[in-house]
Amino acid sequence: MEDFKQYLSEDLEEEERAAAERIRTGLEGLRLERKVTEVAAGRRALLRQRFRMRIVVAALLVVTGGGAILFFWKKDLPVQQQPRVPVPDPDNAPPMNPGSVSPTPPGNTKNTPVVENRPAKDLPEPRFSAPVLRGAGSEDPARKALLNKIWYTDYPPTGFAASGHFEKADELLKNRDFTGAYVQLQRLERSLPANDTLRFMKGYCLLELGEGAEALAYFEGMDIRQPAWKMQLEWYRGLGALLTGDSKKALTTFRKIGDTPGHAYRKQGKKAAGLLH
Amino acid sequence: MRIQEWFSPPDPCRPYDSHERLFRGLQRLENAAILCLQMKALKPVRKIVRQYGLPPDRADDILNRSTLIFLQKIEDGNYQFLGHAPSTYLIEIARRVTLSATRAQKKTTAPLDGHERLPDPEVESDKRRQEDTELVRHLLDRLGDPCAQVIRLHHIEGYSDEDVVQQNMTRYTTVDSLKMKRSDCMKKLIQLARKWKISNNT
Repeated sequence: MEDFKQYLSEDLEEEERAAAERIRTGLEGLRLERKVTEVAAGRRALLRQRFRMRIVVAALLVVTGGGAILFFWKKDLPVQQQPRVPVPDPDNAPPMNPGSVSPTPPGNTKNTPVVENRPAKDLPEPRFSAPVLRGAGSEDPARKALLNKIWYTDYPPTGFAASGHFEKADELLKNRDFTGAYVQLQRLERSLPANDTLRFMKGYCLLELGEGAEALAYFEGMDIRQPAWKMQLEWYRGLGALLTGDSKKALTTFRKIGDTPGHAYRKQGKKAAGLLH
Repeated sequence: MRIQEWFSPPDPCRPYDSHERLFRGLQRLENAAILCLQMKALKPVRKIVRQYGLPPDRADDILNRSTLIFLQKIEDGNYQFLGHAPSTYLIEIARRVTLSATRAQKKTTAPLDGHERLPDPEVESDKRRQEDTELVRHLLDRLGDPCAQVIRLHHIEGYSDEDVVQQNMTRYTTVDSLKMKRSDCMKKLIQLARKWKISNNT
């Protein structure tokens, strides 16, 4: 009975033979049907998987394309009304020598303002928010909100191009990785003779990390050695003072900036003074 | 599922790099071979279904039906492998199945000038097989367990007797007792089919 052929070859009645033949065909049909159903389920799963993959690839293409468009579109935009600070070529920067005045960076031979504020109808809002406040009064939401409104610290300042040893730190600052940049600058400080570019970048890092007092210490006396940076440093001092919680000093600084015609941060200074007042 | 698998779905046709290998796989009823065959025929079948004016969701049914017919032909030795792509043959079967389905849909329309459309012998033979399949399905239900179960495990699901005994799929603990039971059950099934034939005169 196990073998249908053997069974069918036996001496059977015609009716029984026909019935057995139908059973054989039917069982074979059921077996194949089961097989095809099983494969159909696998096929549907495979098609689903391929569909998902296509969606992912399409999404990746859209994101990449969008990113590329945004990147090139941003590149074509006119320069924002942000201050420009020329910074001397770090490799040629002289060793820091308190009391001596560093040569003016190339292109700024005249003692004209090194920072210029492009004319703008309205002062745009800062692109980035202020850092997390530290120390006493760090929980003060009003101070945090105020800082967010006047945190004009875009990097790199227009015209600034770091080269040589500072390229890596410059890249990190562009990516707003201030901790990484600070660590990199610390390493450079150990191997290079101290110079104002390094101190400027470190001060800027500390400012963005919310370390107002330390930043101010780095900027101390720098405008005497680098008169071309004076306006930029004044603005940073105002922000640094506000970070430390010294609103009075900050207000004095901002008022002074706002009252100085031709100051690169005059508008920002007026805004800050108005908000602080 | 691993991310790599997610991004690169397995290609069922990878093991079958020639028509002959695919045919051998189909002879052995390998799932991967059947899947490969269907994936190769899927797009043309969808196109045929669209051409014949059937709803697109019928493509899956038609592909399954055609695969079944093709596999039956291979089992019966009615398909001779001559070096051509098996998927080409499957697509041809699918065309006939689609045509038959279209005719069935338009059955209400009388043929012109009293000419009867000639039935497709392949599709007709498949219909007879389908009837036998339905009959066995029905008779197995009537037979009930444990007979239906022992027959299904061996003849439909393809388990070996050793596997059935080892994995305790039935109450039979030795291969011999299982075989004996199945033999009895098959005889019962055939007798049921005989009675069914007499009572229904089919």
